[in-house]
Formats: sequence, structure tokens, C-alpha cells
Amino acid sequence: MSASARAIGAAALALGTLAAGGSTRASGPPTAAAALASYSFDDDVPTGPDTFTIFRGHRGHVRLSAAFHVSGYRSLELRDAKGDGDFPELQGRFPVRRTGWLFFHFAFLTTDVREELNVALAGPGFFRLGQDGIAFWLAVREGRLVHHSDSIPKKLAAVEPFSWYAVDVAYDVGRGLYDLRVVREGREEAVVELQGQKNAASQPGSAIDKFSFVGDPLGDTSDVTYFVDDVVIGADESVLELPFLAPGRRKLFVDAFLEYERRLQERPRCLPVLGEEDLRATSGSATTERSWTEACADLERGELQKALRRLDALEQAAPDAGLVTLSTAIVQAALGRPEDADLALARLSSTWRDDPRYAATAAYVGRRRDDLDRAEDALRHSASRVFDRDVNPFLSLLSDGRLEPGRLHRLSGADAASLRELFEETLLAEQYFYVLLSKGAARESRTYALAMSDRLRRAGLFSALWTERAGDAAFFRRDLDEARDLYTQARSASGEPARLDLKLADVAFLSGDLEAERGLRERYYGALRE
Amino acid sequence: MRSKAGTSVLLVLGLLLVVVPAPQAAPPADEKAFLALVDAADTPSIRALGPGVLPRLAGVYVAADPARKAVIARLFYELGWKSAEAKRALMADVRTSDQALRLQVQWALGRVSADPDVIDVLLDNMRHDAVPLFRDKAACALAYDQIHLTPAQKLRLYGGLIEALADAEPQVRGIAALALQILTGQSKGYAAGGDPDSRRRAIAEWRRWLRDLEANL
Repeated sequence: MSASARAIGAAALALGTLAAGGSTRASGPPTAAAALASYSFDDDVPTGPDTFTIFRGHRGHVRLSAAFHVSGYRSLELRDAKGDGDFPELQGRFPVRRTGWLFFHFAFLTTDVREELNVALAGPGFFRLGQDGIAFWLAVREGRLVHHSDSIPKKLAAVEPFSWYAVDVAYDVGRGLYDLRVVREGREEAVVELQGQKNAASQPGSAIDKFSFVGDPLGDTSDVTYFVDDVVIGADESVLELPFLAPGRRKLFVDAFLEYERRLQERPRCLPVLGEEDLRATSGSATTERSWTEACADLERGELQKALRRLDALEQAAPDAGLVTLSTAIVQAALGRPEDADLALARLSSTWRDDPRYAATAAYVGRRRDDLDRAEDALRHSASRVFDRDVNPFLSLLSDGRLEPGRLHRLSGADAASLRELFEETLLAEQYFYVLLSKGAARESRTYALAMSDRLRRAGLFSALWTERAGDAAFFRRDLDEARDLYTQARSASGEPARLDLKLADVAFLSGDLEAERGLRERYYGALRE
Repeated sequence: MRSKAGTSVLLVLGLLLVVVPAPQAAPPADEKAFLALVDAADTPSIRALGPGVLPRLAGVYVAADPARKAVIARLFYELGWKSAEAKRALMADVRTSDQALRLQVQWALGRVSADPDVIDVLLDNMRHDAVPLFRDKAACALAYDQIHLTPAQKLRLYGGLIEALADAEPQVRGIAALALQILTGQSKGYAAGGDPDSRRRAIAEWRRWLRDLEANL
């Protein structure tokens, strides 16, 4: 776990305002020193020894997830399994606090409010009630939030599934009292607003040095799956100023695409690891990650050939590590070899085409070539061989974004030169689209995507992929009605409706229809569980 | 929520030991083999037979001598499954003078039943048994082993312990306070050896706390 979940920088604290509500405590600007521990599960670069521990449980798990998140791209998913004799846990540590104030912020989303989950702050006495034991204890039980104050489980508000809740605790260590504020996403009114609550066992001066997120550690009766994001512990009230309300908690596809594209425009570099599968290897993912990190360092230093040699060796050792192939595409493009970058992208097209990192890399490769206009030419010529099923063995790249790996072998056989040109022309379409999008030419990219969809339809190849891309462009323009229509069309024709449910959820969110958004999230999650 | 060694700490609000879920009942083994499992205190094998084994185990208990009864009571404890038959069998020995059996029975009762008369009899033993050891272990059972109680049922337990804080016998006051400390993590300023006024004030605090607990059910 240590490779994939890391402390966020203090910069992440310097955003937005979530009113503390009714507090008289002094507030100041966020500072790096304010955070004792903070995690948003998004950093792509290791920042040193982790200050938290993951316990995966027997049948449960703790893992990063891109399915739901508040900030950034990912959250942490905890899944407990009833009756397995164990429980999953995220447990973090920070310097012990015996006096002063402590501020604790986190967000959570649960998928089934009937299943129990527990969150606690505790001291050197660990997770028992008493002096230096549990200080703050919040749970979801039987559909409600419950906090344990003065050794009494006290019922709070009802909880809705698939909604994010932001929890802020301002804890007076010396007096053993805390203020608690809970806000549901999209609502201005807090669902819980309490001041001066006695700590878990009414113990003034009880020390605190750790936090914990678990399922049901006591009864082993929970099948909960829930998500946690933006965990921050601080000695300063600025911790409570993390953003939670608009502009939204899910990193939208186009926003992620633009951010990655901007990073690549600044200088060629590797894009971040977002999941364990990114660097999947048959022989030790730790070794793969280390080698990949070294190649990325070479790339950042401009030692492109050295980076390429490392990546080539890695691709041999870990052919399913998609992020290695994507990095190869970036290095090849930086070396001025777009045709080799095309090959790397084509190898990924089946599994990565929906990933904003792939889209950003396609745009980067497109920007590095000087023949991008050929993409328009192919569209204009009704007899273009690009759209000819009998001639173009790579046509599936356009229609559904997939390509059998075996077809790439033809590029080194007979007719290789002619096929390579055709292959490039085929790949140009998506690069052209993403370059237009990256330049902010949303109208043009939408028009191009719709024209591609129409052209493919006339060739007898209805394309949900290009309808979806037109939807992305409409979304980029915040033409939400059209985006919804296009995504809905694409969903009905797509073999993967769940992914489009998530995009429709984004549209619902931006349209202010939070109930529809929640329903779509639920449908998406249900599809993931099938 | 683990201890330093990575194991869970379970001293929280009455749910003090993990309730091991019952597997599906399996056909019981033949009588001789079954008794061998009992006498060997082979909990894993008996657990594998499922909750359907409990009435049979209770039947063996009723006919057994005190030594075997103690072994079976320990099995009931370790299985942690609710059983009316087991409770009935154990209750018959809850005031036995056989030390080994008495301790096992007192510890096991809360792990086979959440009935109010189990709480009542343990509270009575804690306060009135002539043997200090039995009183002490009844308090232990109340503090650690009432694993099936609902929040509402815990009111009876807490209420009984709080009333025992006013007992004339110092040992009873001490073990009642300790049980409350284990269950809630706090003392409300009560000291069993303190002066009567300070004890009265602390008991009043505990009674207020109990009303608050009841109000939050």
C-alpha cells in the first residue's frame, strides 16, 4: 500500500472555504505546519516513509479507487466482510497531542447505510474507552450517524448512500471536548452541528496520536464498502477549510485530461500511477515501480535514450504494465518519433482508451507531429481508404477504439510501408480530436467527433466511441443538455454502459440534479459489483 | 482499530469479545465420538458441527459430573452462540459451591443468553454471594462477557452496577466500579474507598449518566 497512497502536500490545504459554523476559535490561513497528517490518495510521487498502515483484512480490502472521490482522482475504498474473523483498516499516526486543539477533517461515502463503519481518533492507549484511549468515535449504524460521547452512543442524522459527507472535528485536547460538523454534499445546511461534546469516555487531557477507519472490528457483522478521501489532521483550524461544496468532488474526465495535457506541455514526463493495475507485473510490482520511477527520472532530466532503454526492458518484463507503455509513447514523441509513439498508443487502445492519461498522451503525440491536418483530409474525402473495411486492418481503432494486437504485426511484414502510413492516418483522428480539445477548441472538436461518427455510420460502422467523444466536447463547453443527449445515445449503443453512467452522473452533478447523480452513481457501483 | 501488535482491542461498550459467527449445522457425530470431543475440549471440531449441536451439548451437561460440566461450560463460552437450552442448564448451577464449575458457569452465561434474568443473577452473585472470589468473577462476567446484549438491555446491566456502588460491602463497591470502568472507560470520580459524601456525589453523576443513556436509546 505504501507505494500507492501518500501524504498530500500542504498546498492542497490552501483551497476554498468550508465554514466552521458557530465556532469562536481564531482562524488563519492554512500553513504547511498546520497539517500533522494529510492524505488525499492522489500524489504520484513518493514523499517518504508513510505515516499510516493498511490492514487489508481476510476477505475485505483497502485499496485506492477512482470510482468516487472528493478531490483529485482517487479515494480509499474499504470493504469489510462479515464473519471473516478480521476487518480492513486504515490507521494513521501523528505526533502525540496532550494539550491544545486538534482538527480532524475527512470525507466519506458509503454504499449501504445498513452496514456498520467506524472512524476514531485515539491515543497511546489504543482503541479502548478510557484515558489515552479512544477520544473521538463516529460510526454509521442502521442508517444513522452515531457518535460516542461520554461513553454513550448518541444517534445523529440519517445517512444516504452514495453521497459524500464531510466531517469536521475541532477537538480541545485539554478539556476533552469537541465540536462536530457534518455536511452532506450539495447541501448548505449541516446535517450535524454540535458544540462542546464530551469525548468518547469523558476524559479531559486524554492524549491523541492516531486515527482509524474500519468496518466492524467488534462484532464482525459488517459487509460495508465505503470510500474515504481528504483525511487531514492538523493543529490549526485551517484544516477545516478544505473545499467540499462546489466545484465538485469528482475529477471530471475533461478536467483530468486537461491537467495531464498541461503537465506534458510543460515538459515531457510520466503521468501518475492511479491504481495497482497500472504497473501490473508478473514478477514483482515493487521492482517494476522502482524501475519505472527511475525511467521517469531520466525522462524528467531529459535523458531520453536512457529512459527509453529502461522502458523497453520493463515492457519485456512486464508487458501488461500499461503505464510503462504509455510512458514509452511519451518518450518516443519527445524524441520526435511519432510513428513509434503511435505503435505504443495502439498497443494500449483496447484497455486504456477511456483513460484521461491516454487521451492527454494522444494529444501530446499529436502536437509533436506536423501532419495533423491529414485527419481532416481523410474525413473530407468520401473515398478515403481510412474508412474502407476491406483495406484498413486498423479500422476498429476508429469504430470502437479496440485493436487486436496481432494486427500490429502486419506493420513489420509485407506491405509494411503502405500499412504504416494507413495506420498513422487512422490514429491521427483521435490525436487530432484531443489536440483540438486541448487547445480549447471545443466547438471544433465536437463537430469533428460528430462528423467522424457520421462518417463511420455511413461506412456501416456505428460508433458509440465518437458519439461519446462528441459528448465529452459538449461537456467541455458545459453544454450539459447536449452532453447528456450524446452520452445517453452512446450509452444505448455501448457495450460498457457503466462507464457512461459515471459521465452522466457528472452531467447531473453540474446540472444541480443531485438525486439523479446519486442514482447514476448507485447504478455504476452496482455494475462494478456484478 | 488495533493494538500495537495488530490485534483488535475489544474493551468497548459491552461488545467485549468477538461473536464468532455460527456456521451451518452439520450432522452430529456418534455419541462416543461426540463425548470424546467434549472431554478433549475440542472447540474447533464442535464448532464445525454448527449451532444444532447446542441442545445435545446441554443434554450432556445436565447428566455430567461437575468436572465435565465445567468443561462443557467452557465450550459454551468459547462457542459464544445463543442457546436457550444451554442457558437453562447453566442457570441450574449458577450458585454451585464447586469453584471450578461456578466460575465457568458465571463466565459462560452471558455468552449463551441475553435474557434479563442472566444479568439479574450475576448482579445478585456479585453483591450477595458469601464467597468473595465468586463475587469478583461475577463482576468480571458482567464486565467482559455480556456479548449479546442490545443497547436497551445494557441499561439493566449498567443500572445494577451503579446501584452496587452504594453497597455496604467495600469489595462489592470496588468490583462494581471496576466493571463500570471497564465498560465505559470512566469512573465519574467514584472511589470505592472514598468518603460517603464523595461517593454519593459520584453515584448521582452515574445516575444522571444512566438517564442520558436511556434518553439516547
